[in-house]
Amino acid sequence: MFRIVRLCLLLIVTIQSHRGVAAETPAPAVTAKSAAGKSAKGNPETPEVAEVKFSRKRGLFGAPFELTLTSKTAGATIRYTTDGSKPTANLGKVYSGPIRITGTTVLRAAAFKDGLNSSRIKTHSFVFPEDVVQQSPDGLPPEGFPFAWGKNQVDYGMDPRVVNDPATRAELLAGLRALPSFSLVTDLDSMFGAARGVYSNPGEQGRESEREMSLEYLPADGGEDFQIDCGVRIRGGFSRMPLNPKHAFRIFFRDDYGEGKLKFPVFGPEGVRSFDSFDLRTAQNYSWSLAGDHRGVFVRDQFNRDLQRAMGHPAARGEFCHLYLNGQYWGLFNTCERPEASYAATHFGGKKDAYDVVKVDSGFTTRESTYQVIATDGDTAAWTRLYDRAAKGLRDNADYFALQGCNPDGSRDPGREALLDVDNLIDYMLVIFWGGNLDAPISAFADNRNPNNFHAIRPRDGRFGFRFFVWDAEHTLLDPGENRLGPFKTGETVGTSSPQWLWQQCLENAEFRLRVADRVQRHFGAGGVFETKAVTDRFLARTRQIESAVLAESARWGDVPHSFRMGIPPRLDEQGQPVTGPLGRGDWRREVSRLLRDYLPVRTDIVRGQLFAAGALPDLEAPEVVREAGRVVRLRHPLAAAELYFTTDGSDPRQVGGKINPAARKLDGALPPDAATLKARARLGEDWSALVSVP
Amino acid sequence: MNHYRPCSPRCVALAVLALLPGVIGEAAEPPVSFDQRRAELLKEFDANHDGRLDDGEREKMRLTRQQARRSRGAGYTLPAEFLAKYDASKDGEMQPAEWKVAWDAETKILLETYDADKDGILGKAEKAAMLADVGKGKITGVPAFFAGRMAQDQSKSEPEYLEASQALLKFDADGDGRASAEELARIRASRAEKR
Repeated sequence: MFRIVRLCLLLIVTIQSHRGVAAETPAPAVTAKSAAGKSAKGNPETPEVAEVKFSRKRGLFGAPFELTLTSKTAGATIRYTTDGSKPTANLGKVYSGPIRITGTTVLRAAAFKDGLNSSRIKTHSFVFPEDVVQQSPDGLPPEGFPFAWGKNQVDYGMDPRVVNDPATRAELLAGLRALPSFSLVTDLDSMFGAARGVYSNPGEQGRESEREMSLEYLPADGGEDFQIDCGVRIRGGFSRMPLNPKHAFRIFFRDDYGEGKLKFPVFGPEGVRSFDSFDLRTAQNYSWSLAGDHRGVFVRDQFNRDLQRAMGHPAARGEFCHLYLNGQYWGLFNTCERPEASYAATHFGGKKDAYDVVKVDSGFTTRESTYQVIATDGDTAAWTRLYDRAAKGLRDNADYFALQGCNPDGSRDPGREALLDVDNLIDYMLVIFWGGNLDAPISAFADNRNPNNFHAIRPRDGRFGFRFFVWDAEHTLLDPGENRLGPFKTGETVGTSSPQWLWQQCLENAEFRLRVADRVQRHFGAGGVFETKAVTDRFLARTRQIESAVLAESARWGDVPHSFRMGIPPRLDEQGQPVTGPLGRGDWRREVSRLLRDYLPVRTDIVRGQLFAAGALPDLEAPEVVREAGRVVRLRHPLAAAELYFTTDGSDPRQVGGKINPAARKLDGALPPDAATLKARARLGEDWSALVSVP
Repeated sequence: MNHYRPCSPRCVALAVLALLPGVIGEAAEPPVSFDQRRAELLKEFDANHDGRLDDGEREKMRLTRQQARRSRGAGYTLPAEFLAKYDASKDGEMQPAEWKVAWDAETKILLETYDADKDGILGKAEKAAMLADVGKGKITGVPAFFAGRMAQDQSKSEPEYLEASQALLKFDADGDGRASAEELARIRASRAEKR
């Protein structure tokens, strides 16, 4: 009885909470059975009512409009809701004519007719930025929204101190249109209900924690949009704490919800178009919402993953976006691919079960393990074989090359399985070192002993070895002097092994060290990813993407009352005076400026010095390639005594072990005309420089 | 279904340690340029004084520096009193199992002492009383270390951040947990009255 009373009350609230919709059509009485929200599919043999057609596309709007809903099935009744719940044959307003949409509205509609199965529910979000910036200015729940989010800290609304700043108001509105938006729509109980809401129970993991919701993509440029029903969970480790009012999400596409895959170029035209899942991440460490940290620039993680991809490796792609939950602005987020088996199948070919994927269970989210390498797909057998071989020592070339499925001379042996992709390991670690990453792939917050925050993928047929993925790179770009080269006391067991430990083991091998030098030459030198101008331009490109959007983030999350405020340096302005008020764009610009002034211009040179001190780089410069009118004309070297060797057949002038490649020519005067493709090294005594390659 | 464990005791202890300057992690290095660093290393390892480090000299440099850095252990130092009490393996470091023993033992005593209402957690006032005793010097040494950690540990305290939303629930006249127009109006009226 009590439940029925509650449901009646709920219906009253539902009817009253149809914000932004001028038309009012009373909904019929509701029964407990129909209020369960299940869309009756009935007999699969029975035809479905034709789906509801919306007269307007979803998206962002600046003026009210009339919305018409139609179904091609004659005599069908269309019902719709605006509170996120699913319309059913008995729940929702009966559509009786055009609906005037005057403000931000999430509208779900389905068509019903006796004797036929109901149509699929269609969901459209209509977002009005002018309306969004006025949401809950006093921080109270929007009408119809819950007072509490279970045990989670509650935070609603847009801060009028930010919204009404005349200096930035227009830009804030433009910022809401500057990035694409995602809109999650669901019955509020699935999101915020104390017992079953994903947001109210942020620590819950696994399939049982997943709730069905609608996801829409609202493009910034009026381009292609999409809507798909999906499963939603909270993602993250430390950031799952209920103190955190702004959680990140993991989205799953399953047959259970409708489409088994999302088919849309979420990461742009050159990315893949088919997804089993992806993440909607948001800054957590060094954020305004969780940490109350004025060092938030919101690009650290994305930028590090960009660097890995720019080096020519597979990496988790991502793009910035805004997010709305049932029409309420939820802040700045970014999409992120998950480097798991489906990612591997998409990017490397084959089926999902053809891959092993390992990552670290940090222990923040399970009771069973703490900072242990686990398999998310396949198993850890190959990882264990890699560990066992590396633990025996890699000083000898036979052992070192065997890890790569190679003969002792470095040539590929098709009969051996590859366990490690050495170039990928080196480049991955260069991103780690350059960023001064404190939390991956081993954590400074766990003794520098335990692994954390990496993914590794390997095909089970061993055609290539484990490849690593930058993940959760938030603890980066901090101290320009940071040295993460170690060596650290880590990898004492296979469960605590990591790419950092593999780097340390490999560093015992002279061929590996020269390979490091080759990769540093390629990526730190002229035209390389970490060349100061290139890395600065890449960083600036990301910051420019969100420069206006951070105003909206400031309005939404710049004033969270309870934050995890630990270890944060004083918040000071350019004159060294304390800054008060909501965290905002001024803080963002100060931190971006600090990085542009103190970190980016010097970091590449500093890390090169750290690598040199670790014995990873030779003390012999590589030949300089001299071009004239874009054509390679000669090689030169500052040491007159250095001999320069080159090849034009793609082989290395130096053989494994240090001998001169018989195919190499010693430079004696000008380069031959076939030097359009060229590999060259300098040699002095027994020492070889790093390799330079053209093109 | 897996369940959230906000943070292991060791995580809490290390996270707090990590944020104390000079306690954890690599000692901060000044931002030294490549040329500066090479010049310093040449002074130390250029055995034949030819102005460059050949392969042999660099290998000696690598092994010497590797040993030096490895000998720095986990990168933080704990008071001898701490290690004497909980470093069961006597290896000079706190292993995960040792952290757990230390956390369990020390926080049990603190909880018994300061959990005035005996609800099994330290509330805001109880934490304040504990930290006041640290300030007065009534708690020192290892217990003071854990009192600090315990005060920061939010996994076993009443969530202060819920006070605001709990207060609003008093206005939830229909008990549905959601804000109706009438309830919001009453909250705003109440706020205006208090102002």
